[in-house]
Amino acid sequence: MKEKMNVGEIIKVGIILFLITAILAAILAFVNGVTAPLIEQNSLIAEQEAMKTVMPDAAEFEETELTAELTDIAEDNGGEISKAFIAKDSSGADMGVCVKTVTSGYDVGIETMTGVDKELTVTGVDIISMNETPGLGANADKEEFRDQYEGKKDDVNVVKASPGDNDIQAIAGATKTSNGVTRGVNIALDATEILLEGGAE
Amino acid sequence: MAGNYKVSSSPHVHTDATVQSIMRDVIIALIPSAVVGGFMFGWYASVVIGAAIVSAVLAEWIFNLLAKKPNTVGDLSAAVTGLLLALNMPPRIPIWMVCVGSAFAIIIVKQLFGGLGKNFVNPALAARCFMLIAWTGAMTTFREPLVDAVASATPLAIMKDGAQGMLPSLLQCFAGVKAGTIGEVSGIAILAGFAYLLIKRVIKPTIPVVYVASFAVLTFFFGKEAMNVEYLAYQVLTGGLLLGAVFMATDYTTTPTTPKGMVIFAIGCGVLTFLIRRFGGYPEGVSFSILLMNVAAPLIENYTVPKSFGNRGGAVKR
Amino acid sequence: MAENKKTVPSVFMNGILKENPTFVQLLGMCPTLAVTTSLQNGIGMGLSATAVLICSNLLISLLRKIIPDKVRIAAYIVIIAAFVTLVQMCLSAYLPDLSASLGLFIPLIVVNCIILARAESFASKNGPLLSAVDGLGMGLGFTGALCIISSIREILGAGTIMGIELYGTHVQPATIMIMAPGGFIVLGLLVGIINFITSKAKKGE
Repeated sequence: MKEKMNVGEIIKVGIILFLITAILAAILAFVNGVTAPLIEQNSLIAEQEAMKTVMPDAAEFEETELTAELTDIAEDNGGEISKAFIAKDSSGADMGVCVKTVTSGYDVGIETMTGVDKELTVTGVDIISMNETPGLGANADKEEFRDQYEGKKDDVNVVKASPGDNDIQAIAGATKTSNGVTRGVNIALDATEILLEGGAE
Repeated sequence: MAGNYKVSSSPHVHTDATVQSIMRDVIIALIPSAVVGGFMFGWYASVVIGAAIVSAVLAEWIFNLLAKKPNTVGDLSAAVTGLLLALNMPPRIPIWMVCVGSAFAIIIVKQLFGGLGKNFVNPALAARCFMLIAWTGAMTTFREPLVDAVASATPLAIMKDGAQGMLPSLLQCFAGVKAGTIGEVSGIAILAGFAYLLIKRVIKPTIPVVYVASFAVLTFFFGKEAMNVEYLAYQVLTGGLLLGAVFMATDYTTTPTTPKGMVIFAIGCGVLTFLIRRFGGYPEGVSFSILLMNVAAPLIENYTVPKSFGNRGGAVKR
Repeated sequence: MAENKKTVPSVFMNGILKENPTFVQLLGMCPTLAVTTSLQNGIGMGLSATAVLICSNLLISLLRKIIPDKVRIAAYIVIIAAFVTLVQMCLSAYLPDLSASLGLFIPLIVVNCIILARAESFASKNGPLLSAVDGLGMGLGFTGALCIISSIREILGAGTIMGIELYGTHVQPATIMIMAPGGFIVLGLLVGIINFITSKAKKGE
């Protein structure tokens, strides 16, 4: 800048910039007020829908508190639990547990919802969001892969070919993603064991 | 390029070598590997080789026709690219994928950059990497040799992440009785081709020898099983290391031509191959290593221009 | 541009063809390469950017006499950022699926240089109507380019178009086309083809 600005000019420029900013901020605040509840609702709906997919028979889901024991279990399995819900049938009796986990596959942040019933059997798995490679890891969202988890009990393993009773066939070319999803399912299985025992007391 | 000819003083070396004769020698040198591959993996492997060559030549011919350029099919370079690509294919790759790969090598990697001598990376290798990322599943499904329809993991994959399967003996690895791409399985066949190219003076031994040696040294001292000679032998004899070192890393267009540059290039390939095999996600890293060093080749060449006699300060600045 | 008269249709067509932001000016390459993995994403990104472009061009043109020259870039960025935030909030409220798949790239519209470039080189010098039309033309040019790139990539790389399966199970799509290298390859080829056609056309004149 060649010419110097005098104090008056600086103040004038500042005020104009401030006014523009203030007006825009006000507009944004207003729009935020309108959309924020909707956005909140959307993520709740997504969660509810995921739970409905993994446990279709349940009537309602009640969120439970995450104890230190639960978070430790998740950490041991190399992931974390973000939410856990007790699923209830229409009469209000406990049916099982839905656990939302975050694990890493080829990339971080596979959000998985796993439903586990009272017999500690997986009723379904749904992937809420992930950053895996499209066409490879992202195939984890396909039903052929997710449906494999149904009916599995503790410690599910990932194999590349000819899966046994408690094995999952890995997605071709995406073993790491398959491992990531499986970790989430295993965390959910362990967590359910704890949660349901606690409920019986 | 007119006005850019280099005028040098005598003696002027004259050879009978033409692009066509060089390419013919490369094809002859590749024949043992192709034959062993065809024997190990059955008639389908031979079809893959044929399809790759035909589609590469066809792609070159059609491109020249459309671009109204002189027909360069006769220099055999397209055939070599197709053959090299085929030898880098797993034995049961669908034929249409091979054809797409050949077309990619010739049209995108070679012709769009100006044709033979102007491509900045090796067309066959670039196409192989393209296919590896495009069809990871099909490109990493290998077969047991000699028997039909038995899926098998390559020795490198078995060593890398404990995939199921038996490690073949070292002798089997050397002869070619192991899972792998069509052309990489037999060390003997590749070395036979290497010897032929050396006798015909088509290539100098610098790059292949330094490449394999630098890789071997690193693997011996810092590999997953350091100081283990048997592990080292497996690492050298399996995978595409020999095939890549002899036939890919010695491509005229995409590698340095100065003696010092060749050594730097080869060491770079060795280091990268070691790093990818040891720490990377893939069990094999020869293709990516050579491609990366291809890109670095002009830079290497720039720094290793030989000094002319009596000129202490390096090349004269014009 | 020499002092040829700026009319509404000429300004509009300028953005779509002659100065197409993607293929001719090569602006905004980051979203172009990153979000064009499916046609749906391409359309979503293109239209979001168009909305921001029209609004910011209009507002900046209206305020062009008020905004002090010395802080104009700061003012432009504030205005653009406000509209981007607006679009982001509306998308995640009303089109949550699209906003999830576009992810980070919506906030990144702020730094999409097309928008700042139009603010600086057009909206700050022209009236509100022409500026809005310029925003629309540029935005649609950008959207069109994204649609072309993303449909090629989706068809080749995922074997689908707008999520509809195209080939049977025998043909595996080439995954590389919806990954980063595919974006560069398709963009490079398209720019090459367009340059080839325009140079031919110039010779023909």
